[in-house]
Amino acid sequence: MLQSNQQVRTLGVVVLGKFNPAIIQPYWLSGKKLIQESEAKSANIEIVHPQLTRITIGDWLFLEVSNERFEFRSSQEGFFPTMKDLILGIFKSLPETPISGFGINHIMHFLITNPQKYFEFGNTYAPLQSWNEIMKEPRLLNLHIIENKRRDGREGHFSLKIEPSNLLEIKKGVALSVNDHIAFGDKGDGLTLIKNIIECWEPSFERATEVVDKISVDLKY
Amino acid sequence: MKTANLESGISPQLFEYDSETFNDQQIHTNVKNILVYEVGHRLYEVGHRLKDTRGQYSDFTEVEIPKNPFNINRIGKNSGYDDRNYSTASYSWIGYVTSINKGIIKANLRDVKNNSTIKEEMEFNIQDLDAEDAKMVEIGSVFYWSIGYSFRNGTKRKYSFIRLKRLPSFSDEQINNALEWAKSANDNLNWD
Amino acid sequence: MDYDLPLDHIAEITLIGTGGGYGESCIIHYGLNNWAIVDSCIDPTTNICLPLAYLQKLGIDLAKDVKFVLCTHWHDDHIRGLSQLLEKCTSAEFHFARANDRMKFLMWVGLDFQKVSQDKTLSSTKEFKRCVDIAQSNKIQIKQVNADQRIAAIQNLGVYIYTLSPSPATMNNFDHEIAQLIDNYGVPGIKYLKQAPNDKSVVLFLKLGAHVAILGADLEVSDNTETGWLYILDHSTVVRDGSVNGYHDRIWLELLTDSPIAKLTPWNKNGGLPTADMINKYNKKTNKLFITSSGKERSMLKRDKSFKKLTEVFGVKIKEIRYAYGLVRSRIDITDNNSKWDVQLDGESCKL
Repeated sequence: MLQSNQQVRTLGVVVLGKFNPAIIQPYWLSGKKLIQESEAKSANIEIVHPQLTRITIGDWLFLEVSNERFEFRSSQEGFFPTMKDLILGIFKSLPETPISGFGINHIMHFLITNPQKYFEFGNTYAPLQSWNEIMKEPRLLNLHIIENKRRDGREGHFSLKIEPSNLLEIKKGVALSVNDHIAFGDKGDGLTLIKNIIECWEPSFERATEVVDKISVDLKY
Repeated sequence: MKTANLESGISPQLFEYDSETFNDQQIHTNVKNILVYEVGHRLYEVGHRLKDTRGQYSDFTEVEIPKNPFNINRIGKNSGYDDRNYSTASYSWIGYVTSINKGIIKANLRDVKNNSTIKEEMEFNIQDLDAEDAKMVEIGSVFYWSIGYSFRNGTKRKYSFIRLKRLPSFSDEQINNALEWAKSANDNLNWD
Repeated sequence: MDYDLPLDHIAEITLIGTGGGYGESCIIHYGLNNWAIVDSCIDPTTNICLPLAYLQKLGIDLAKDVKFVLCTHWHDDHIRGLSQLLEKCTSAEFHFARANDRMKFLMWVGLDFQKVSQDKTLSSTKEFKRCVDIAQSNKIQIKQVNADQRIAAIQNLGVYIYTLSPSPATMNNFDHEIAQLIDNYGVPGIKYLKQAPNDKSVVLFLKLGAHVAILGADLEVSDNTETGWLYILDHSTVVRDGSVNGYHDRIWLELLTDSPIAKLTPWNKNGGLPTADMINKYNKKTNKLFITSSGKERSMLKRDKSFKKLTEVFGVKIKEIRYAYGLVRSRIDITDNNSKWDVQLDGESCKL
């Protein structure tokens, strides 16, 4: 299965709305018992300002907050559930924050050492023969596919992107980005976000797995 | 005076630099310590602080974009976060503590990576917890346990961590939901 | 074992165990096609409700013949799958231990359920809450029980079923406990675990013509004479689990005949119960001791090779709470005073 080739998994959650970045500080988080006090003490603060906050908690969480965008990001797979708890905790403390939507982004990097398999990633999903007439040895650089309507009927979109990996040490790596975006319109708030995160979290992971499984089958892994 | 907002989805790079200001008589007054961020090729100012004659900085205020900044220095380095330092969880569980006795914690577990319905029980030393978690842990405490491999600066290592689940207190809405359910059951059940 | 229906005058008490992690259940036929189910358990690999599966195998009419479903304790570990039973047994009453302050008890169940939205592991009363929801929507008759109540009878057969617990003191204590639990409700990330000694359990006394049986659930013995088994022995008129505190000489001397049939289910606590010491004690009282599954040494769940190495490196001990299905069925002729219990075994159950 392709899963056995997976090297890195990054999880990003981006919340769109109206935020006050200056309040998102490590001691605010630990004061609400959402992170450990020692983590707050040793947090790496790049900036805390009314327009921008960027901090790193331990080695497992990166937070970037601007007036319209709140991003959580981690590449420590064991901490993904903790990230979810933190998101719920923050917005439970800010229930009236206007939120227009959120996206769960799964970015998976796979090592593909077999050159033929690497080529097939592109060729299977965008057959390249038709370009042979006007290009020499055409290769696919990236592919972005979006679902016209979400399968679950919610507002938003589901898309996936396949492109070369920029993280793996060895050159032949493929990054698969699955973006699962839910939109609330202008009526959403912190409580709406919490409800949707709880409902959509596990299905989002299941869908990401489904994508990987499909690619496994298509490329005969 | 307005400063431009970050364009959504673009990661800014932060800079800090000093700029001299002059009063109306073109006399050098103080040095500004200005924080700006760069988005694409444009600089947007976040704010500045004025340095007085004693070398003390004032509070931050927002200002217009300066036209001729010099001595641009990057602020600190990056945040320290790097996707290339990552870890993969080979196995993950959620568990709850069933007993604590002489520093040994027993717990029941559920394998969440494989979404298993089979329970497991584990035993570990309270010292395996971070100091703060060790102080907080009690019977019924829910925690995550993950074991796997971490990759840092190209080095692969095994890891295991146990971390208590941290959640805020429940909301008024949840309490109201519980109350409504209880009232409905109390009123509508076919009691003896 | 034959899965045949007992005749009208044949009583049946069937104990189903799962190895100590997935609940246990007792199924009673008390004559004339009247059935009752006490607690519930599931096969964790399929989520099938085991007492339900047993009754379906016998071919009884679930909608008509099951007269009551009793929940001896509302903790999930006791009643897994009970809601599946309640859905099918549409004319059954739903019995559970009385709470003096009903609204407070329901409020606590409602609050506990709110934890499910965070993670289902956090809640301990999901199954009970589901049962209450089903009882509401299907207008099921509720019966709150306490000590010394008659909950079923077939007078012309001389069949009576009584509760022996919970005692009045237990019910008062429970009210205080609920109030404390609600006060501590706001503490996040904590799962409610069943407190020991468990004196809230509902114990049943069955008079089946000239024969008697006691379903002990996991009621325990403590020092308090107003609760648990001591209350029953001192104030009140053996199918129980292998709890360390479920043993008292007086129970055997005062409530039971010589060498009764005794059935145990294993329990996942303190390294696994019953202990060898407990089994020896029971064996001195009866030579007809059965258990739904023997306490095999717990081992690690099979995973790939790297798993064992990883756990060894970190000095963590982890073992599977193995699902072990076992059934001990006993039947007796209610109308024949000289009839003897006929015991049949299925699954991993055995005689100790």
